[in-house]
Amino acid sequence: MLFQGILMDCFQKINQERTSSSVYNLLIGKKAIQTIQDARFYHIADYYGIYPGLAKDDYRIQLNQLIELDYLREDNEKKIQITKKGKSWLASCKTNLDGFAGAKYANVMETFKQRLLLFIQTITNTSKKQYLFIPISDNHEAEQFVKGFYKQYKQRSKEVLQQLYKELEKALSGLTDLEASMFVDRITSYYSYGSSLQQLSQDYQLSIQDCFLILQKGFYRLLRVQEHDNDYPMLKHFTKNLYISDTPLSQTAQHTLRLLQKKHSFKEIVQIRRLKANTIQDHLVEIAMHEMEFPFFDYLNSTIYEEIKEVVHSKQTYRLKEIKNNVNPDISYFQIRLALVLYNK
Amino acid sequence: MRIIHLEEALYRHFNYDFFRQGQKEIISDVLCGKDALGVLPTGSGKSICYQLPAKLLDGITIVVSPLISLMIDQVKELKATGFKDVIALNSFLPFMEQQRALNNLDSYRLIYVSPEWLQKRKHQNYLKQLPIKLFVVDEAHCISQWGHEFRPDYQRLHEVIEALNHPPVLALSATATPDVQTDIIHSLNKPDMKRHIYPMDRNNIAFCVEEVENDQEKLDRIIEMTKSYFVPVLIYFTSRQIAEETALSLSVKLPKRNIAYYHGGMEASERLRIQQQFMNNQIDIICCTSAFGMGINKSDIRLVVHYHLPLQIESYIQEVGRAGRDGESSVGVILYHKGDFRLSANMVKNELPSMEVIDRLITTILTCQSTQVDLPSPEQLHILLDINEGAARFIQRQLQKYGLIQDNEWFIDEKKWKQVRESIVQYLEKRQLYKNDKLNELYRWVQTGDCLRKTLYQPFQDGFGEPTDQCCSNCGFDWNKWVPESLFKIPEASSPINWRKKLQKVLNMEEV
Ligand SMILES: [Zn+2]
Repeated sequence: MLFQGILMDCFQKINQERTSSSVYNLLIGKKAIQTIQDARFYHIADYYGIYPGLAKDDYRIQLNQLIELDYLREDNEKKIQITKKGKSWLASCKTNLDGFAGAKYANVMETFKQRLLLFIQTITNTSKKQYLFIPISDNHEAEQFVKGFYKQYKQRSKEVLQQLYKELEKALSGLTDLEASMFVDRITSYYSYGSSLQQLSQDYQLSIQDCFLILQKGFYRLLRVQEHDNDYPMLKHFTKNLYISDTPLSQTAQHTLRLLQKKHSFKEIVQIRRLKANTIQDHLVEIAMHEMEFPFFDYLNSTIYEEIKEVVHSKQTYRLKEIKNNVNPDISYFQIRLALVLYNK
Repeated sequence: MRIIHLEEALYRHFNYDFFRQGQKEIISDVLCGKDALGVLPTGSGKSICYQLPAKLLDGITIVVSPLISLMIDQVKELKATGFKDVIALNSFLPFMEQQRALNNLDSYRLIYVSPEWLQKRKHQNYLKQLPIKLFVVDEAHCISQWGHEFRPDYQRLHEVIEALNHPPVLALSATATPDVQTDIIHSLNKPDMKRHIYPMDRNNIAFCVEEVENDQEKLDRIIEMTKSYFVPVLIYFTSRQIAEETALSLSVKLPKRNIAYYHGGMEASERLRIQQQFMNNQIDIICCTSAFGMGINKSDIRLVVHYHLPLQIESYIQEVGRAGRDGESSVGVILYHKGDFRLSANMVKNELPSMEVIDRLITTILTCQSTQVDLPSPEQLHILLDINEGAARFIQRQLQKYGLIQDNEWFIDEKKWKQVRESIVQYLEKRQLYKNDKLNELYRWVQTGDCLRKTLYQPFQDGFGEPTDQCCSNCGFDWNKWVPESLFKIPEASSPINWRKKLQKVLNMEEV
């Protein structure tokens, strides 16, 4: 139900302005400018990257089911519309959908998860004098981190476990019993290997996708409490050296940003980077979303901005093509995109 | 002198108290620098035969292994036992990691490689600079066309051995008939290789063949058996989907048992969870395909059921051999009905491409070339054809063999094709006949009225050991007389409300 709910919520908010694959890209956390922009514009950034391993086929199957149930309708341009029936269904299950913070922790989530789980496996084994075990994660970074952390605490493993219990218990208490229970079942510790998704799905009689998303919810909860509350020193430790930002700025955009900060002009950046003007424009839009002080009016003037804003209001749309058709032909797509970023800041 | 030394080393490095049959003899030969061929039954600890020497030799041990997943599992397990200077090299390694490894090869003691990886001149050049003290060919039956898993790359290993200046060679297999043994020695070009052949029969496993009417009856029989025996059980399938479905219907019928499925289509980390839970007795019944079992060291599996049979006797021996490695009484059950043979025959047929498919491929390639249309590379030839992976690999290897594919480029013209076509036709026919023979051999065995133990091992060895418990269903098998020790208690039902209690247990705080 959770998975369906999230899809429905996304399509309701996008309101027929994007194709079905836009939501897929959102869920897997595609690092494309369009996806990041969509996440912001349609207020679905909390779902950004919450399901990195989602298979396209599984997504499509789920979507087709919703269409069959007549909760959603797909038009000729592959754009999805939510039906009246779908709306009332969604209204009745609304409460389940909270608790995600995808965009916010996009850079952090995977590493945090791996570190925490590997650490629990390590410390529960070693505190029982079991030094040989097959680690649940092959991730090199997580392994190094856990090694360092473990060295620091191995003498006090009992204390560490107690503190960990205290923090996990408190954090998970904010979830439903079912969500907390599933989270605990997934943990691998001394002589007890955590459940696979398939097993959780059988034990709790929920779909594999729902189980995965409920587990994710648990991790987002841990990330949130350690950020906002001082009672979680252990959990906080697992985010060490991880940079929490709204959405990741791509490597290549970072490069462009550095040139921008050195006061190079647009033309110069195009030449220096030997990239197409279009690509640099993509970078600028991406940067505009991230940076507090982006020089919007180097590229727009207030007349242009007002004109675009006007169309957004009157047509109630963020669709670039529709806006473009209704403004002065001299206004470029690039300017429209920047104006939309500014409008949402 | 040496004997004491070896046993100490075994304990020090692997924590075992004593050698199993054959290990010490083979290891002694290897340490003296002799070439050896070891045929040891499944589950007898074949890998110790080179892992211990790798620890003791003052240099590097190379192991050629045909299956990448098996190689990776072994490295993982070795690392978990504290053997750290080991690595698996194969073409799937990311480029940067590969480079890092190549530049530091001398820091390893044990290097696993795939035969494809080894064929590359560049890789050989790296290896040539190393002090290689032992060259191991694992699953050596892959060398022989008459081995059930023929791998043409294995036939070129003698060139590599020569390029590496003839380090001592150890060839290992669990299933090599006398013909295959001779083939191995001949192909490796080591006529003086010392043979260490040990009987493969397992006297603590009883064999039962049960004929049923249909698949529903198979399921009913499995439920009956697993209901009364609380022991670790493996159930083999050839279809991933049926393995999954059966696991689910069993869970419904036996709600108090822990049942899972396992196959090659699952994500690696999920597979690892299932494997480890089975090791820890958190799961008691696994519905699996042949992907399960390799590299698994669970000694107390009591019951191995075949819902589907594999395609040759060698695989069956390997799969049923996962039962009772601790020597305790165990049972292998085969459930079959009349329709099974057709299913198996179909699978055999699809493992090889038909000649029509190959001809069509060549015509397509020639047309594309003459009209200058872009072609996919040979590695992607499955795009041009609708055939399974095994069949596509067969075509690639044949075309490579005759130089029609070189370095992943097409080198085909009509004349060349005409010259080689007949050889490929003949070879294909030979392989088809061979595979059909193997399948017929297996089904003949299943349907024999003679002692199953005797007939199963006949092609491999003379005679067999006296069974420790019952022999087989043809000699008379009574389930009431089979009473293995129960390993599982019925678990207490836990409700989500008790998650705090579970968390305490998970974090070793039960005493608090
Ligand atoms: Zn018998």
